[in-house]
Amino acid sequence: MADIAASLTYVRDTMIPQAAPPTREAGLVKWVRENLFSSWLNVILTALAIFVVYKIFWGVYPWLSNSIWNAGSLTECREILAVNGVDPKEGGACFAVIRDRWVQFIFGFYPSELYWRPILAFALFFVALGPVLFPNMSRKMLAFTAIYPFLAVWLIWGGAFWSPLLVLAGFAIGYVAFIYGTRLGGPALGVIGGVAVALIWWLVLTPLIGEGLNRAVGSARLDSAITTLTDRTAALAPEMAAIEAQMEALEAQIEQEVAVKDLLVAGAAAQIETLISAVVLPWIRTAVAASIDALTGLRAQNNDLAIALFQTQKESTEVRTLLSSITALPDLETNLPDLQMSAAELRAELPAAVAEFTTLDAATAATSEEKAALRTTLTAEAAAISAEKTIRLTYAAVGRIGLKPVESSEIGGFMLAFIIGVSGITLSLPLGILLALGRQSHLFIIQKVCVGFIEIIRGVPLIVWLFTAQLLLNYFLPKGTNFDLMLRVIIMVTLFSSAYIAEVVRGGLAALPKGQLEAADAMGLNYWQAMQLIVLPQALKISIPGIVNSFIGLFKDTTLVTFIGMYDPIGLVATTRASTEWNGVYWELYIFVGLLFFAFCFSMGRYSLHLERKLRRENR
Amino acid sequence: MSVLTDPPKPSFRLSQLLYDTRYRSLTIQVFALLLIVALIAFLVLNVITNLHQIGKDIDFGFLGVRAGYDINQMLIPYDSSMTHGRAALVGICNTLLVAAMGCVTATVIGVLAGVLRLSKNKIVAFLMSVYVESFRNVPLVLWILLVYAVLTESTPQPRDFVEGGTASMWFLDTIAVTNRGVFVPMPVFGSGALVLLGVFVASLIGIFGFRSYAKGLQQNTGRILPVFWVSVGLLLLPVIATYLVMSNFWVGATLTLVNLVTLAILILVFQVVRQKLGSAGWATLVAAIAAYAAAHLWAGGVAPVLTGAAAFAGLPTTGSGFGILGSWLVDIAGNLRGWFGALSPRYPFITGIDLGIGKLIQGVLQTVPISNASLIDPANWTPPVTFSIPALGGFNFDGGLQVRNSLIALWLALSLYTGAFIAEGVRAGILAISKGQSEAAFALGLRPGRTMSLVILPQALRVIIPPLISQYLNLTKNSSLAIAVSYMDVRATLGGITINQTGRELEGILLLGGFYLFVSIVISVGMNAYNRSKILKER
Repeated sequence: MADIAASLTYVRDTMIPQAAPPTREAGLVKWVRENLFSSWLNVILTALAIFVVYKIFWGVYPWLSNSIWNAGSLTECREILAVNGVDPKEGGACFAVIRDRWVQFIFGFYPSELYWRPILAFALFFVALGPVLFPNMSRKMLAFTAIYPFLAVWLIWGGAFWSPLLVLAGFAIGYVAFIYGTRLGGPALGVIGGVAVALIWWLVLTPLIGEGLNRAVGSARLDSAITTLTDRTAALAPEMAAIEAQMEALEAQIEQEVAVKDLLVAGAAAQIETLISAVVLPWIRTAVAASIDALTGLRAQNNDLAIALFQTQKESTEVRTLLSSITALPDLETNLPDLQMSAAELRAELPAAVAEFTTLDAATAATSEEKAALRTTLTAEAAAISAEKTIRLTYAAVGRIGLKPVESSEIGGFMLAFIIGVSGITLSLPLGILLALGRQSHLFIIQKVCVGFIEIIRGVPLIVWLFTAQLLLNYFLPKGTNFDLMLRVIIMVTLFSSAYIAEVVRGGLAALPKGQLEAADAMGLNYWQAMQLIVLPQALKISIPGIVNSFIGLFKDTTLVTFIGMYDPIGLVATTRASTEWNGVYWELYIFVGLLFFAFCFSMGRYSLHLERKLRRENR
Repeated sequence: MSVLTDPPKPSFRLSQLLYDTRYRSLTIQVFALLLIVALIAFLVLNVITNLHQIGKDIDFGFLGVRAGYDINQMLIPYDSSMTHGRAALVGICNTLLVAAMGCVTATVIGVLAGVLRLSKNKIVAFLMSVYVESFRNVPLVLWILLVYAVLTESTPQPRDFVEGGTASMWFLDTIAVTNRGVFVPMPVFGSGALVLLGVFVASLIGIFGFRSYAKGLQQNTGRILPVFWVSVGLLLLPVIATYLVMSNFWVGATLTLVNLVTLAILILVFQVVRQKLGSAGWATLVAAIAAYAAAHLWAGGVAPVLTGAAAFAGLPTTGSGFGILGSWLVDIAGNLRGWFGALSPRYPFITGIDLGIGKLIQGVLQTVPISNASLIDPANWTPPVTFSIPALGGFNFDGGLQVRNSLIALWLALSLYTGAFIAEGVRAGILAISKGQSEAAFALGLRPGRTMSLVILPQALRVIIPPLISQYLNLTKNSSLAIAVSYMDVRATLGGITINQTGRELEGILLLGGFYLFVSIVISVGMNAYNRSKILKER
């Protein structure tokens, strides 16, 4: 020991006290040095980025800070900006347009007195979604999730309370048929029997029972309906007159207020020009603001009245039409068989050249007699059909126990995007999984059919499929079937998205080691059990990001319905920009719509990241 | 004792079709096939009867009928007296145009954004993620409409471009941005344009050949040739030289010669000085300055002297050629003097030389009699390609090429939108390469640039390319959103006006869908071929 100690000149026997790191190697300075100024290129990038941020900030900030939230039109917005002395180069946002139109952007043209129905459906949506997204919630809630679609459809579109129940009953009946079929001849027969029985129930029995119920309740209520409707007609006329009188008074007031405001604005302009404004200008500004406030209040009242007037007018027409068809009902019912018979006879007697035509345009090559015969036939057929329809609709209107029906064309805005998006997402996931399984299947024909379906759907843009739904779908179905445009769109969007999901899920399936399926076979599981218990849980876990990306894509693609005449948010932006008040506004509207879409899509993406992290079993 | 016998040969029973796994798959398939055939037959029969009842039996004859409508953007000749088929073709060209333009810009934007999003620079990375997220989460239609609205509402009207008006043109008065579109110079192809094209194709082939030669050389001997600069040179020089020579033989030839010599001097001096001084940063700078000075001395000093000599020797054409070059160079020298003048306190020597040369040139030029002035006159030039420059005439621009706002809006929005998706693909591709690869490359002594181009990129491309191509496919299909801004693509001609005019919805949409399907299949066949060629060769 001693000689070692002697050979070393110095050995430290205590630790040096810890010193703080040098300033350039610690804290913010270090971070900035390493991240922002580590090399020449990085310095240039930083400078560029700071320049861009600076430009964007000073381009946007004054515009936002000058924004106007209360005005009746773009012209008024500009007047207020001028009165406030805003530099025209900076300009100011006119978010008043959103304040004016946001209800329309959410609900479209849905009747305002029925807003509670979509709101309730939307609130219940989250109740139904809860157990799906968060598996630690009670399993019993899933029952509510299962009946929610029927409830939501009924709430939004209205109609008799038994229609959703009849559709639900189809599932129950199909299930019973499946159980019996399985007992009789195995699972294959069970599936076929169940599907067949359910289809028969939905396609044949449901309309029959529905109409029967309408008729039963309707004929019992006919007399009381006549008295209530007559009373209502009598009451409606004075109501309308009163509203109109109120509106006239209000409009006069509005005109006065507008004159006051115009005077004030002109005064402010003069003051700004003469530059002796220190005292007067602030006063004018407050006065203009007050005037605009008053105007907004008056206009809101006027708007409410206009809506009320529109609704009373609509109700009055409806009541009158219904009343007249009820009065005509006995005659129509007695005449209907004759009408149908004569139409059929005329059709049978038609000359062969035009025997099958259903429009006059079709008979271009026919002689004038043939054309005349066709014309009579078509008129007779139209009369029969319209009589039948009137009878059906009258009974439906009188015999309905439930909610007031709403047309699909009245649904618009984010509600429309949400309905199409959510239905498409819900329906396309199972369909996509089935298609992916079909594409991986060893059954030659099924595999080829799935491949063909997926490739054809994916190869053609959605807009072309939507045009197909709008223009061609009726040609593919038997004559007389005509279903709702919204339903057609949902079907097309679902098929489109399912093809994309199928490809994503196929990737997940391909990533699974083959041993998993072989192990499942060795355990004696059959195909569906193996898929359900072993393959799909793992494959779906891998494909979550892709599936959510498809969902986001689908939700964004709902905006394309604007091109087939539906009023989604983008379509409403166009109508707003075309109105006289808001002609010339664009940034504000697109920012509003874009932010709402962003909120939906971004949160979906974040949820998928959360799910991915939660399900990551390996490397935890 | 039991005797093992063969089990009795099972006779086929009907129930085996359902319970025996050997036959069951067949039963299911036959059943499925029957169902599908029945479904298809049902649909087709419905279509046939429905169409017959309204008198519109399927007939593609409408394609040969006179269209009678105008299209505002044509790549191939078309007018309203031509057929619907021709109109569809014009639409197809427009679709392919916007798709091709979009693919190029989307790739550039996407690669930049993807790489920058991985940058260590937090501000840049943040800006890029804002870009990517905002485009990925907002519908494309909205972006198209927004860009279109900005282009039409916030740009000046053509009449604002009058003298003393509020608007002015860009880039030496050649480009006008108006609310009716952007007017840009339009190339007008003269008689020799084909030769120019031939030279261009030949230089492309040359580049390809040089690149494969350089690659072979590198793999055999390890020598690395300056591929990039040679490619740029091969791409530009022959075309420019041909253009000049074809415009006016003597002037062009002289200009080309002088320029080539200038370039050669530039490169030579740079290389020689750098080799003498070594590879330090300051050596590069000194070499660059020396090369500049040498080239300048030649082009600014010697060439004009030659000009003078040639002129006195009675060679009028060459003389005038040098004359043009001389005045051109005086221009450049003047500019450079301006820049160096600003730096003069620090570099008095260079500025002095420069001023001296400038004086010299001016003096020489003033003494040169330009005897054949007509050759310098642009009117006597016959270039194979000229440019028609837009000019304000009345209330709109004449001449030039009008690029409509609809095309610009669609192109920009498609590029930015698809670029965001490509950026994600690029990022994923680079992240997929394990860090060990770049560490190994650094350990071998490769510089960061070479590491990127020789190690990371070849591996990352394998991951990046397939989703990139599917993004190209998406972009092509998304170009059908042209409907939002009334751009006349194939959806608008064949699938829009033609259908409305002829009432042939079924046929029109079948053809439209068929076109998109064809494009998709061509692209995906190409993608599969690429995947097969790039698949990891494993033992």
